Amino acid sequence: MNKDFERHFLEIYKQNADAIFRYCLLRVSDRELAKDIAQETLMKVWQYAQKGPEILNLRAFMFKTAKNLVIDQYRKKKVTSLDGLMEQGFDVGAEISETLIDKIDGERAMAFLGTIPEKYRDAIYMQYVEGLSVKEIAEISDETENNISVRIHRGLQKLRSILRDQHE
Amino acid sequence: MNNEQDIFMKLVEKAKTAKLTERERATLFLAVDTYVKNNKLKWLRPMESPFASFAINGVRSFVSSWHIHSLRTAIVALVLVIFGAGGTSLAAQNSLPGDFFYPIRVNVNEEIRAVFLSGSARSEYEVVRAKKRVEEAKELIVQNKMSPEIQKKIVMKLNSHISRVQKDIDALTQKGELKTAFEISSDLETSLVEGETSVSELPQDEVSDEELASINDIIRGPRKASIMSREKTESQILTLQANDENTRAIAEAKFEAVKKILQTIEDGILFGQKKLIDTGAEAGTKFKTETEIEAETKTEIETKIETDAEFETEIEVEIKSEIETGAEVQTDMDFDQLKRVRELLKKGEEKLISMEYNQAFTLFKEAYELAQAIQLGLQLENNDIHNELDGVILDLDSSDFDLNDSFDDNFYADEKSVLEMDTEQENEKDMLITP
Repeated sequence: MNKDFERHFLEIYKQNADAIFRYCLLRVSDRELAKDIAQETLMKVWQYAQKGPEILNLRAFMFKTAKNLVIDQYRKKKVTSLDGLMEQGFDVGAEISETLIDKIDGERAMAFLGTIPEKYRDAIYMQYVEGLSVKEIAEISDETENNISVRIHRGLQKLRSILRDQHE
Repeated sequence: MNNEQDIFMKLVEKAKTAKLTERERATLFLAVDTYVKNNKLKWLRPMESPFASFAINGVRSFVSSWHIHSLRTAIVALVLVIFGAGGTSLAAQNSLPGDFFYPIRVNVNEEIRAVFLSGSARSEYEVVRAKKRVEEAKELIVQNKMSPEIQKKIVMKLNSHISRVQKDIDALTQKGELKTAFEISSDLETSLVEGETSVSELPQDEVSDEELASINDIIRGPRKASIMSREKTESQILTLQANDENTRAIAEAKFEAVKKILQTIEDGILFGQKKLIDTGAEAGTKFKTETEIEAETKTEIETKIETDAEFETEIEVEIKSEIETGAEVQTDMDFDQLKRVRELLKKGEEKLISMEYNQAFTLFKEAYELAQAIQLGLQLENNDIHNELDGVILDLDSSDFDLNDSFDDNFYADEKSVLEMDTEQENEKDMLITP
């Protein structure tokens, strides 16, 4: 049983390492920091598994841990925000157009998704990029499923409005 | 609407391509796997005797380590073999240099791990170990447990990890695997530079200058060695004058290195600005306090009002001038040079896209050197600002600007007695006038 958990953990974390890293990247906009937080996340989850109660949804728990560590990071040290990047001339919005969409890389696409407010961004990102269910997102965000559905809907509206503004 | 939907879906697909590189993933897996293996679940821990795997996987390496490592380690290892090692592994895992179990951690646990790795994975592990030694040194300093003897041992261990990595790098270079050799040497350099940076971030009130110097002494030599190693591999790649994956790797690494320095420069500018604001606020508070003290005495000594005004003006001018000086230092920082770095980066990126890697590398190298010069200049300037602004605060505390000192007790007494005498005289006059 416990050996099974270890095997399960190793399997799940390897399958989700990119996703956890990507989520951290979305939140901190710094590749090196995102790698560090992703690593810490996986270690923390393992650490928790030794002490805490049984983890029912390991994947969701990993995201939740990552989310908390990112918040810790914000508290500890100023993290380069997207606003900061934009002040430095990193205008993600201006880069996204139908013709340029194929030329941008993953990190820039993530940055564009990050232009909407945090609560919508996380929900949109988790559902569309990581394919998490509303129930899982609710669990990660400590919110009701209904709230998450509303956030996804509003987040989509915001993104659409940004895209629409660019075309006008 | 459909168009927006298409763009959104394309964005989502693009976002999914933001991934770890294979190398980054391998490093992450190695770190997490190692952590998991060394921190087994409680119910599994009795299985975690390092000697169990030893027994299965070969006596030769054990015998070899027996001869190499200290007698104490060997004895402890023997005791562990006889009585079982459940839990001891964990104790060793959390130990620091100077602790009883530390030799088990370094000479047994880590060595076992290294035995099962090969090729670049083993080199990576040695890099991880080098980083651990730096972390341990830091921890010892914070806990106030560092001694010259322990410092010497840490330096020896660190050098031994580095010489192993260097040996692997040389072997890879000979085999023509220059890209891997370069990546390993870069990783080593990065982890030591990061170690050095993290040391400088230690809380100043907890760590003395001497302690900081001692830890810097530990890192400095290995860091220089790692830079030399990386530069050597770089020049080997450049000598071949090929425009291949190797050149691309060194160009991309240089690009990343410049970006990192730029980030540090931007942080440095922010730090300088914050310092200016903080000092302004601190000076303002002090000034306010002084003024309040003055206000209390104003009712007693009216003649002082003019002098107060002079002092207020003097302090205001001083604070303003110092803050402006600081701001000038910041704005004087060669923004033209910074602009040049960004231009070089941009040009280099264009060369990367057009797959002219050699030229990209040359541009990035120029940007790197320029950025380093700016960074150094900024550090010095920030130190100057720090000192100058601290001077403002000290001045406010010093006799030159201390209003209380200017109007000392004797002064107050004299002025009070004058006022009292005046009042008495006035009263006497009144009495005389009064019929």
